[in-house]
Amino acid sequence: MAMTTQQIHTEINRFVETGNEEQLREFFVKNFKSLPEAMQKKVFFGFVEEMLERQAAEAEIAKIQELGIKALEEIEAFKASLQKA
Amino acid sequence: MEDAYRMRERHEELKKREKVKHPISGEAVGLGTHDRSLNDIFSDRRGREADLFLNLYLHKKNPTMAKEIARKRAIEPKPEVLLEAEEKFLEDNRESFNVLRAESDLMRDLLNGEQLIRMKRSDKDVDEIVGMIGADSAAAFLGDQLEELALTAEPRFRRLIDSLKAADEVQSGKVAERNEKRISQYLVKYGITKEQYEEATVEGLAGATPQRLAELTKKQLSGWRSALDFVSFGRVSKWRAGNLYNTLAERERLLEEADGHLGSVIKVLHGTLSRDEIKRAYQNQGFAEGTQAPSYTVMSIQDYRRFHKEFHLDKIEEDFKRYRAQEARKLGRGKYWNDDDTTNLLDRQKEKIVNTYLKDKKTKKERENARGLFKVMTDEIFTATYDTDLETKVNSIN
Repeated sequence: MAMTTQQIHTEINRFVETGNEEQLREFFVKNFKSLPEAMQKKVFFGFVEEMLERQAAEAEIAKIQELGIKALEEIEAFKASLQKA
Repeated sequence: MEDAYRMRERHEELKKREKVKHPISGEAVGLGTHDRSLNDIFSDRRGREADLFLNLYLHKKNPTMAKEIARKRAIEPKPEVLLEAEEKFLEDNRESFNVLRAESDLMRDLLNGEQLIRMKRSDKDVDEIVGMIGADSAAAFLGDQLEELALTAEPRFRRLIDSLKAADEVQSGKVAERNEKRISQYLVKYGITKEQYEEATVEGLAGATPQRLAELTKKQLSGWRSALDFVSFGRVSKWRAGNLYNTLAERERLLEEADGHLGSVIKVLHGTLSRDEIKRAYQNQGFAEGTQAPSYTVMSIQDYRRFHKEFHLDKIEEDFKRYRAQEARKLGRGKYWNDDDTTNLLDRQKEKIVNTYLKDKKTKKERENARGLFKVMTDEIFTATYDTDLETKVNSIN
């Protein structure tokens, strides 16, 4: 059965008072089909946006890691050349 | 002469093409079917383009003018002639509208059903919803939202393009997994335990953005690189010339220095394994340079609680009274102004404070920067009638 705007607001307010982000995500997933279609669109978009931002953060981390790994390789080569000399 | 014309046309064509780039490849792709004149926009058979242009895009830019143009255009049987300023407003915004329409279509193509099936594996909630409604319906949902986002919240739309591009890099290369394996190998090789760096790492990461971490890494890189350059161009040649004692001492010093740099780079790399902190830092950072960035961030339940307290109509009375008391103190009228007795206030001051409060709320509302699920929740507060309801509410408070 479809949830009314009032019911949704009541739920949201409940999360504001006592809930956490995980519970909020759970609420939107569990009740997804009961939400009005306009809200379903927004909610799904919200999930995808968060997912893409997390993946973008992974990419940022990967870039830093590549830079650092390259640095380590070069320092090691430098050390090896000193030790050989 | 004809050649000159043709060259100019070609040049114009290329310039136009450059305006729209593919979000992932960066290749100039042009406006395609979205290369529309004002006449094309307003004569679209279904009226959809005109609706998006006038009621969504221009309404966001200048609601008063957009409403007036819509009113004049709706007059039957003959629409009212637009003022010169109104015609200019339409023409000035036509091209940017076309660009955003083209870009949102490209994004819609990229986030299609097939792509969603590929991406959903990395997020259990997205996975579950796509499973419930099917990949094609899910992609259609996204398409509609993307279109609206492009026309009403460009900075957020651009950020999404950047995220998709970055996400695509990660998905295609499995870079992160490979890097982590390498870093773990280095940690083992140099006998570095988690505990050794934990404290420094946590401190170093508090509030750090990936950019800051990247800067830190680069700074360290330039540090050891300058040592390396110094050796290559100076000390090593001297050493080869036969100054043995100096060379040995120098060698030890350089080896020590290299170890120091090694340790600091490993420390940064070790820090990158604390992914949650970095992810949060990334999510909280601002928008790309050059875009007008909203800055009232709502990205966590704590942010939302503050936001709710400040903007929800049920909380406005409390919020306004707090503001009013604070302003009254500034005016030196605190002793007259409390919840029970406002009679001693001059009407002029009362009005001024109400107006400043409403203006302040409006400014903050425009700077709202909620994303993800929190955007859904802030939208629930900011209904279409929010501004009027807020004004009525504030004016009714004694």
